[in-house]
Amino acid sequence: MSIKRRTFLKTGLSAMAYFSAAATTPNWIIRSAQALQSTCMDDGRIFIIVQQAGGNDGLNTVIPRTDPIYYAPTTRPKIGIPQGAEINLDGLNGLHPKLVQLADWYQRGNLAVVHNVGYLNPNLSHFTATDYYEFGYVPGQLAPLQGWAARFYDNACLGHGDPQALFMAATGKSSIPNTFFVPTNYTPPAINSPSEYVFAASNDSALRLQAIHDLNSSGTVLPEIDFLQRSANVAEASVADIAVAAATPLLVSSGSYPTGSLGSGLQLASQIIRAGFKTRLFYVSQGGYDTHANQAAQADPINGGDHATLLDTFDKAIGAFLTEMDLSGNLGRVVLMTFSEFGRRVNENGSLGTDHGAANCLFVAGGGVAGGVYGGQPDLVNQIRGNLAYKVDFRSVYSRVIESWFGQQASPVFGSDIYSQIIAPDLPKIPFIRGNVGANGWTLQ
Amino acid sequence: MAYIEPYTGAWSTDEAAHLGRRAAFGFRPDEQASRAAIGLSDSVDALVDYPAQDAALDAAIQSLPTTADNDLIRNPTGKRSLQGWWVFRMVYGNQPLQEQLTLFLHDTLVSEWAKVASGVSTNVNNGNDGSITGQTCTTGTLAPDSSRRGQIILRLMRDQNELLRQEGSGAYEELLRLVTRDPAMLIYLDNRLNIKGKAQENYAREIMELFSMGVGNYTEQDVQEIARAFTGETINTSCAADFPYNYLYNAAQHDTNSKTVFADTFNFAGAGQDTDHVISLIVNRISGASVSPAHSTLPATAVYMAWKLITWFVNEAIPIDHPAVPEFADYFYNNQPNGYRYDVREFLRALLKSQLFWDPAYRHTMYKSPADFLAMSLRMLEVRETSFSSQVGSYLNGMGMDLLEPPNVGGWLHGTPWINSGSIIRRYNYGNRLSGTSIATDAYCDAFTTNAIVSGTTDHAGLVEFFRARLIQTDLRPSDQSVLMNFLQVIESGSGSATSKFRRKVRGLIHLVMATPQYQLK
Repeated sequence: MSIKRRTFLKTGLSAMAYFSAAATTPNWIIRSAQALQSTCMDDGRIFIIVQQAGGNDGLNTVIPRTDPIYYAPTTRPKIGIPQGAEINLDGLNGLHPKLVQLADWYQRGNLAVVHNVGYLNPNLSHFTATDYYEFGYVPGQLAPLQGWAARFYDNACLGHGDPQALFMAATGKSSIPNTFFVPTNYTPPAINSPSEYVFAASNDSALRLQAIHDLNSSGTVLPEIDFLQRSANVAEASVADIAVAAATPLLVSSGSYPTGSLGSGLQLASQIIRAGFKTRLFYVSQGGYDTHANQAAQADPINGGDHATLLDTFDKAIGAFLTEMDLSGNLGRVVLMTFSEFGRRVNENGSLGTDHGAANCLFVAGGGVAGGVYGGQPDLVNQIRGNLAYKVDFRSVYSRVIESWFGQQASPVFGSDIYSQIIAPDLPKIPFIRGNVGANGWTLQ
Repeated sequence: MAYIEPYTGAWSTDEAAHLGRRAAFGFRPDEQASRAAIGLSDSVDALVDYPAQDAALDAAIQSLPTTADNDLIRNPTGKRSLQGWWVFRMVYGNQPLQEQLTLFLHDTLVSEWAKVASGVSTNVNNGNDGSITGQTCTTGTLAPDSSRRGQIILRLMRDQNELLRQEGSGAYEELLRLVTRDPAMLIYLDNRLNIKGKAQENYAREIMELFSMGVGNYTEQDVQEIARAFTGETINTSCAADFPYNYLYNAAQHDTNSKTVFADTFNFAGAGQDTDHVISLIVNRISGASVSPAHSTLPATAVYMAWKLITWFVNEAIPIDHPAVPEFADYFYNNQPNGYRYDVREFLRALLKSQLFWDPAYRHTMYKSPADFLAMSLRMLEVRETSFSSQVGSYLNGMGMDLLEPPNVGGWLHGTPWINSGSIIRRYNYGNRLSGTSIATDAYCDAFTTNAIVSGTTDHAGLVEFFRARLIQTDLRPSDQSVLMNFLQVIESGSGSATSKFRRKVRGLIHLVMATPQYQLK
């Protein structure tokens, strides 16, 4: 069953300091005090999660350009990327022709492809599969109550002081993603539109806003009320910062970030970083990848159809973000990872599209990334019901970031048995984080 | 059978208010008083027994005075105004349960405006509609007409919404057949493109996973077989027929090989018969021992849909393996007072009268959806929103619920996902909007004293009590009571005429009460 209706971590409630209670209000709610700031993950490293919702077609994103099965007439006769049109990476793999900026970042050594990411007994439901990726578990396991990044945060940061309100941020989104739901002592903000992220009061403004603050500052034992108050608290504590961030000038030309949630989310993430706020985890999302039909146009599989449009947006948004990180000297501080709930069927269907699949490729990009192709080539010979088999568990990808980028422990996040049996054997296959970053200065690009 | 048994406990204004918050969009004070007077059973029946059309509302909309906003409610022209048209029905309709059910069905049998729009050809032109004589449909003869295209998109989404509204309370099995052939759905889940020889699985999967049985009750083989059975169910988009975008069964694209679904092998010759048979198989499919929760006698659709309805009306966090679910699933499937299974109207009647629904532990525990929050505020405050045609949809979008544009085929996530820093700011700001002088007008504020709702301009406790009863409908927390009283006292102590200070108090209270944590719950 999908954990579509998420609940609170009951075990934490009794021990939890209700920070909506005045006595335990964190210092960032009391605006004047900045004493006990978090020292957790304080060396400036940043991680950006990019969701491609709907199931991205990995085989048309990173094309196995020497695989005869990809080009066989029964595989993708109408929607396949014509041989030679792909952008060659390493001889074996080529990017979709729309991914021109990502190709440049590959050439600079700042982009990694990880092939064959998935898990055992994949589920082809969007929602079940997305839950696996967001909560960080697999079929047969009990669903965790917290998203994987919320558990990672708890494990790394509980007891290290109060985080800034923007420690984690979902940008370009009108909800907190399950991946971020929800740390024990901290509620991440979601900022969809900075211009609407302002408390309005047409009259008696100061008086009303003070009252709103007070209405959300009482102690409570009701989890629903507590969550509401925390959300209001983090809104109050972040509106001024978001206004500062949103006023940070672009370093790329106007229009470089495409319209839509991904472009606006990455633009705001860049502004938050460049404005100097200590956000460590970002989450942005792009929807529309469920390309059962009109994935490609028959007459023009390179430029026509929905997938070309989606990847064009994807490329421009990530390209603009990485460019701004580079121009502002922040590239060495960032690692960006993409994920999608599943790949798509190897063979096309009759609607110029592809149906739900299984294992997939993803990208990792940024100054902290050791560019290259990891995880082996997709195996089009040994398909499972028409889908790709996985070779790298997705939790191993997360663990590589947790351990090699943040220097934290992954085992408590996913469980020691899972770690020893699944993750540890995978990690040597995916050394996509540079080994020697982390010193102050962030000169590595 | 403890959960579905009729509730026989207390009945008072509080109970009537609970029924209003869950089964309507809140009751106006006059409705609440009349429900409280007639008792539980009659109150539920009055909500449940509605006709397909709300004729009084339709007439009222037609007779609205001519303004730009009213004209768009009468004749919506696009997504924002159709959103406003729908919210107007939620607020001013006489059949609020019908609108709650329509919202539930829109959130279950999902179509997204943007995807449907992308399925209407940009080459739509004036075709053969008679407005231009002597023209043909030959490509290039007529220039594309984007206005006409927009009208088709609007009609597709509005027709689907009306289908859910008018047929939603009947047999769910029949609704599934109607939705399967709804043109917007045929575009949204791509079945219009599902052709023999190279079937595609989008609708076959989602009808089982999201519209009926839930994930886990079918195999990937079933998905592929059902996809073949659905081939040829499409729409007519031809220029020669003047772009009707209506349902069409295309026998030439229907797969005539035999199909095997749930070990049942079939191959019917008649138009749409394979599809109808599949839907029968789905809704009668017993939830197997291998799935969770396993029920040896109950169909998976009865379990899943009963659970979805329970989560909509009782509490979003009730799990599917809660012991109440099989009681209601059994009723949904086996009780046939009108001669058919899956009787939605009778299900709702039983649910709204049940001990489960009236369990005090569930009161004031559900997070209002943005539509709940917005429509309830307008209905319970009896203020007149001045921009249904644009601001309502825009605010709903900011709160995370872009009506007619659900985030994906699974619909919106309910409960905690409604609440975050950005959405809560938009909720508070909508309270500020309602408190503005153009909505909470001087006359609205002054009525409190002229109608003796409060005993005078300094009756602060009376004012707070008025908004508590109207909006919060349960005890205010003492701390919140203090905050509100203090707010009023500060204004009272300041400068200004008594009249102006009183208006500021009323407007401030609207804004502030709508910003209390309790008001986000229902």
